[in-house]
Amino acid sequence: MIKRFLQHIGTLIVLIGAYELGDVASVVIPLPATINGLFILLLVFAVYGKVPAFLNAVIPLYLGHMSMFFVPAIMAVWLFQQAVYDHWLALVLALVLTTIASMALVMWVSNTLLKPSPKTNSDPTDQSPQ
Amino acid sequence: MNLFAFDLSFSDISHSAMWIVMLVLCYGLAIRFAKWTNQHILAHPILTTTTLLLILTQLIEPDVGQVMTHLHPIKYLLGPLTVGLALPVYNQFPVLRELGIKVIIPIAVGGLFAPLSAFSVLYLLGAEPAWQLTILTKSITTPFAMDTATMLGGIAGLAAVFNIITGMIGVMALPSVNRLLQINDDKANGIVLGTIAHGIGTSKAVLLSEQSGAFASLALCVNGVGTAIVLSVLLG
Repeated sequence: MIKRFLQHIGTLIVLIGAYELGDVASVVIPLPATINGLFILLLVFAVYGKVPAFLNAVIPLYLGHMSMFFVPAIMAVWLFQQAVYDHWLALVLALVLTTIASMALVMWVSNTLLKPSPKTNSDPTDQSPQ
Repeated sequence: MNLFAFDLSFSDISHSAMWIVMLVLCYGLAIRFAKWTNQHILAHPILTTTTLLLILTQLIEPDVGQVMTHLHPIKYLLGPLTVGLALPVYNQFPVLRELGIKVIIPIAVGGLFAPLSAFSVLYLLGAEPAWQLTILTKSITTPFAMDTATMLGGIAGLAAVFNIITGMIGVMALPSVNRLLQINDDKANGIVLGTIAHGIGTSKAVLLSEQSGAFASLALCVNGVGTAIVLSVLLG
């Protein structure tokens, strides 16, 4: 119980530290703070030679519930209702048609470059970020 | 973005605490609802949580902007959590090294075509410049999309919405695209879902097969980081 608590505290310190360092770095490197922070953390993993066990234990849990943290930003769509209504046709075309066209293109290129493989059994245990 | 960017009074803290508790409760309900519907794409927890919270907002405090301010600590934490994506990115290095260019080309093709085609449509139909810039981030993983959209002069909230809609369309359209091209391969499905439908597509891919899931995670990481860097460097 205490070990788990300390793992969470340690992970939060590392993630907030890397993010804030990334924010400082974005003054010099013109990339979002999150990308700079990600590279800082990757560098730490590379130097350390592996992912520290406490991060491995906690980060997948956070990534699996990342959706909750998007909600405050998504609420802003309420403030754009009128604009969404005004541009609905452009948005439908831009989101639906181009997504389907992109999928078809990527599928064709992937299939051409990578040989088809036999089906494998499903294992829905992944905690993917949203 | 600073966690302590706003004036902290007792009222602010209690309002923040109240709205954070409500958000967590709504999210808990949304997770249960998604399980109850057997993870139906339209019952995605993001949609349900946002809808429930907007309903509560209308009942308790109709000023959505004010509620967003109360939820500032949650919005802040999204940044550090996004940095946590370093873990899946690091874990994908061996696969990336093994397959190299063969897997990078389709991801790069999708990473270029998806945003540019969407941008062109909005540009030709005369949408506002901020919207045109925002839609460039529609196919990269949501946290990167929000951050990159802000950097480009777009709108973070709108980027998240475009993103989630794109992810859902990707998942719903996959069987039709399979039929249309007469291709139904685990690797190709994984790359398509991860590249175009980012995290929402990746969650679907792991349900299709282990191999689809692994390729989708790889595509999500490569496209997310690659597109965010290219857009920031070219337009930031």
